[in-house]
Amino acid sequence: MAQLTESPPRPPRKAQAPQPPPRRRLLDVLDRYDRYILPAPALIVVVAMLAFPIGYTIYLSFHEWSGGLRPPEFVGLDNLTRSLTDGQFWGSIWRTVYFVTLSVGLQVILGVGAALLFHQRFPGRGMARTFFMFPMIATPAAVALVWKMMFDPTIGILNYIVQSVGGPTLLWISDANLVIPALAIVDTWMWTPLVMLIVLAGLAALPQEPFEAAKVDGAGPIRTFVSVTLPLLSPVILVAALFRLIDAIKTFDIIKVITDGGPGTASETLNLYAFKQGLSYLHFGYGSMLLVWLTLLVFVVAIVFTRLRARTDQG
Amino acid sequence: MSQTLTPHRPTAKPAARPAAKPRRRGSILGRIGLAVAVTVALAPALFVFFWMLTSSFKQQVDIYTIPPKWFDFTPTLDNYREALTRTPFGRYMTNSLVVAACSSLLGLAIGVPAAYSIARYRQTKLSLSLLTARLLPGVAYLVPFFVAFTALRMVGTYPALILSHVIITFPLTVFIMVNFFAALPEEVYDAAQVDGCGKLETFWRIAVPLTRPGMLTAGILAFIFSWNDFKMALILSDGDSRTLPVAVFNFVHEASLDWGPMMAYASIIMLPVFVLTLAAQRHIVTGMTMGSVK
Repeated sequence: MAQLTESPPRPPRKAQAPQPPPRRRLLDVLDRYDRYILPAPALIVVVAMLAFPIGYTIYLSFHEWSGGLRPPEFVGLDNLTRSLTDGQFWGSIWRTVYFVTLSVGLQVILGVGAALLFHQRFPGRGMARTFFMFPMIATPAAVALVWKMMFDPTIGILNYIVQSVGGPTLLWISDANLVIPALAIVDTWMWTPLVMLIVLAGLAALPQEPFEAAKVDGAGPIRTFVSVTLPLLSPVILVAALFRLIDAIKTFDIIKVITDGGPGTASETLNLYAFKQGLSYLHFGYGSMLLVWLTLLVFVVAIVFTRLRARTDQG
Repeated sequence: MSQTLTPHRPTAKPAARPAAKPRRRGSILGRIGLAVAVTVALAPALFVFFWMLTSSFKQQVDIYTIPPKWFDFTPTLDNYREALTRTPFGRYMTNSLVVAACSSLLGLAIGVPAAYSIARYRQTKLSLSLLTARLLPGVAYLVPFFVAFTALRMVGTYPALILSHVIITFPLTVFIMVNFFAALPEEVYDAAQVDGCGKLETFWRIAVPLTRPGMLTAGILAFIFSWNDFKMALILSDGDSRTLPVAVFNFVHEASLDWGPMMAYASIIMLPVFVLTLAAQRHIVTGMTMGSVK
């Protein structure tokens, strides 16, 4: 790396005095514990951001509480049994799975395609990559508003485009059957660049020999892609898919701004439902129960995918 | 994800040019095909911003016209005037700037030493707990934080917002900086030791100056992600302490279907992000890849 040659480190003083000054001695003592001192502030933050939220959420999931001065009331497993018989809860899980499958599936396919494209060398490639990344860098809440305007059935540009190629008038986010695919389009638009970036990094690190061997064997570009590129890339693609899965389950901003779970509850994912219960209706207990489910869902997906990944690494 | 637990040298940086390999110049047909493909890929990414920007300069009549007016409209600044005056914009802008700047600096202050320690001493438990934190849904923080900050009477204050944003900026900083520290050759540390440089001194005087580009990368990305945050600020700010993403969201409720000023608002919010992105393209590409994968 080029930066290694810049700014040469100042030559450190040598400890040559027979009696090191007191400050020096203190530093020596501290030095012995540097591996604990350096990450100490981080550990405090980890406790605050990991142990406290998890512990408190689990605690609240056994309680009924709407804030205020009265302390949380212990209700045992009431929230758990309530969730198991709550149709809205199961509906929200189904909508989450639907949204996540659709959007992550789309962005992995498009992201791999885009990575192959931006791996080619052409003038202005760096700039093109940067422009392609704009959707994931842009402020989600603000971008969501632009999409909301574009989805408008009468003045929206999307319907104009659909109709100009002979399509029907779509209600998009006002149509209970279309709202999740519409949100999946927004999510795909936003996060395909991330899949592209991860796969692009994988492409740059691929060994050259298999490609040369394929060429010697007379494989065409399609054959090379299916038999060489894709198998070599599959661990990287899995990582990209894992990261997108984890984040897609937790999608909040765009759904909150564009539909707020509507029409009715047609786009109310588990995350939105938990937010509504916990922070709109201030049902902290039941909201926390839903958050426990949501967190479990994310962990299960992460573990399954990590296993899958370990298998491809061996293979 | 097992790979993420041990610090890795950044082998694959997308920004770095691959070793020059002789590739024959494609045929004219191939080059046209490539140009078409790049255009098709970039069109949706850029169209949304194009549409936002042009709409922000249109009068309401022109926004509501079908077929849409692409370029043949009389531009107006009314929407910007409306957006900037109807809400205390300067106040919200200051909030966003203060919160993003403080939380990204705090993220660096906490994350850089931790990343060094993880990279140098292979503290896998620490990095594992950070990865676990990465899995937690943001909403799962909101209830505990809301309750805690309410009890402390801190809802709507800068410290509450800044501390909650450290949850965004700190892991990102660690994930990025671990790569940079791991990429320092072992000889650097050996030389420091030979010269009688203490361990903490090595960190401060040698490792930190050598990884300044990494800190710039982490800092820029942390700033952008804090600037973009919506859900923390939605719950933990109120009235005068709102940040811009929440302000534009509330603008919708106050002015339903008044698309022009809303697009103006959205354009102003995104302007600093795009300026930063264009100014630090390479840092953003590297950082986004490391921050997510590693």
